This record gives sequence, C-alpha cells and structure tokens, in this order.
Amino acid sequence: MKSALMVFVSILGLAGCATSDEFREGDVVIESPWARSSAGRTATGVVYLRLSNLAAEPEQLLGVTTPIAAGASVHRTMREHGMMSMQPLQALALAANETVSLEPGGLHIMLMQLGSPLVEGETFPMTLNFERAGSIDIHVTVRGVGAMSAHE
Amino acid sequence: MERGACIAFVCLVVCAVPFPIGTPLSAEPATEVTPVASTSQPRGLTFTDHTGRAVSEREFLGRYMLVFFGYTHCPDVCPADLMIMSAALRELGEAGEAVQPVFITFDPERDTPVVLAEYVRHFHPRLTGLTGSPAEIAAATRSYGVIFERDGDEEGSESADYSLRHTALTYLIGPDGKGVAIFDHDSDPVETAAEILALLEQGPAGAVAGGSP
Ligand SMILES: [Cu+2]
Repeated sequence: MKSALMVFVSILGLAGCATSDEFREGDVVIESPWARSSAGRTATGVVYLRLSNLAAEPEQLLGVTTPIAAGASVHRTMREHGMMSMQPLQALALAANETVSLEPGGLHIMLMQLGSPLVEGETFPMTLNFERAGSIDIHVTVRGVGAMSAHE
Repeated sequence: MERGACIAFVCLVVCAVPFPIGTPLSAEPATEVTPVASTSQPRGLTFTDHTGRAVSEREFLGRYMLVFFGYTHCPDVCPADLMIMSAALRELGEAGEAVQPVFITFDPERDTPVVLAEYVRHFHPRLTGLTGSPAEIAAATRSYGVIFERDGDEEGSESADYSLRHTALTYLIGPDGKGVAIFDHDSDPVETAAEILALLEQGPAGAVAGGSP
C-alpha cells in the first residue's frame, strides 16, 4: 500500500515536475499549494496547502522559506471578541497519520516583504522544513486574489 | 417592524462602540449567530473613491449598500469576506443590481485610491473602494462601530508590513442611509443572499420603520 503510493507519487513527479502539485519527502506529503495573487502593491502574501504525515510518529513543520519573500511563517487566523487577527505559530504539529489543511479562515503561511507582486498563473519555489522529514521543496501556484481554494 | 424579527440581533462587537442614534429593528432574541440587524448612521461621511474622486456618503442615498471594512494587505480574512459579498450578489442575480457593494479601508496610509482600484476590481465589477484622510476614516469606522488596531510588528518584518486586528462584519445599509442588517464574518453567501432578498422585498419602508419619524 505504502510502496504503491510511493510509486504513484514518483510517477507524478516524473510526469509533472513543475506542474505537479503533490510533493513528498519521507513520510510527509504536501498537496495543492496555492497562493493568492497580490492585489496592487501589497507586500504580504498568503499560501495555503494540505500537509499529511504518513508516519506512525508525530511530525512538526518547523519553518518555511522562499526566495521571493524576506519572511514566511505559519499563521493561524483567530477570532477573539469579534476581532480577527493572525497569530504566528512557532511550529505546526502533525500527529501520526494526520492531515492538516491550511485554508482560508484557518491556517496559512504568511509571506512578508514580497520582492515583487504575485501574479496569477505563475509559480514560485518554497521550502518547508520538517523535524523528521527534513526539507521539502515545493512549487506554489498563484491563483486569483479572490480564490478560495486550489481549484478555482 | 416585526418583519425584521427573523433577523437575530447579535451584538458581538457593535456594542463595544456605540452606534449613533440607533434604533434596533429587531428585539427578537438571537436564535442563531448569523445575521443581525439595527442601527442608523449619521450623514456627512466623506471619502475618496478608488478613482480618486471625492465622494460623500450622501451620494449613496437612494440605494442599498453592502459595506465591508478591511485593508488590502489583509491576506486571509478580508479577501474571504469580499468573496462572500461578491458571491451573495451573484446569487441575488438581477435583484442584486439594487445593491451597491462598497469596500472601505481602515488603512488609508497604504490603501491609496490607486491601490484600491487595483484591489476592488478583483472582487466585483461594481465594487467601490473608499479611502480618505485618517480623520475621515476614523469618522466612518466610529459611525459603523468598526474596531481595528495595529498588531505588534512581527519579528523580521519591517514596519511597512504591519497587520491589523479588526472586526469583519458586512453591513447592509438601506436607501435612507440607515443600517438594515449586519452579516457576520464568514457567513454563507447563499444564506446572506436569501436574507438580503427578503429585506429588499420588504422594501425601504421596512428599513425606515425603525428609525424615521
Ligand atoms: Cu497571516
């Protein structure tokens, strides 16, 4: 089962390269990473994706880097007394066999000080650093500023 | 008046800052935490729209308005609520043409008319973006009971990257300039559209009933 998935993933990798939107290293799978395009000169951006830990042990996302922004970190959108705000997370924990979706209104990767605006249709590289799986390089697809999911 | 009763009066945030001369349209106890109703607003707010034109709140009189306050650097919350507004208008179809969608920034320092023009077109072809002087924006947020404050600057980020904590409600304003309903952050677009349609069908009289002499 596990090896079948790995074969599937490697075929995807061979077939797609830049266009594939599933990335795997060790027991971590990253699916459908997408960003909202920048409206105007906004220096901030946001990335959503789905993370799966296929291992029987817990995993942690420790950090995110991308050459296109000076800073990138995992944020959780919070609501307190009707006020919406974002709270940076030191690390994002994944339990054994857990899948976590970063999606609008919940978790996201926030990009700070973008070098240039994110343009719809383009992709950019990003590296996610995990405690056990190590670094995983992915390509993020830029969707419309009003996109609410990876497939709009 | 009773016709507004289906709308729960949920006063999460709005009560923190007093709405001026507000007469609640509905006193029915809240059964669900979605929409809301009430309030009126003073006249005389002024802005600069996304085309750079000076506009007065009075120019919007005679039409329904759907108003959302936010800022263009908001990566997660504001685009979602503007998409909901846009989806609700789409859901309303022709009836939605009676409603003017408006985005008011509470970050005028960064949200110049040019920035707003680039932003609003992504959400709805008729979405009007409004900015203004800090004093104009302060008057507008006070009038609507919108609260926002600058978040502590994050490590490694420059001050130009600041983010804001803010309320995220959408206001339906009647043709008389008075508040008709408030929709919560992350409301369902289909339900929002249904509630707006019911209020439109009830007519401006329904909106006026609460406050006008
Ligand atoms: Cu954020």
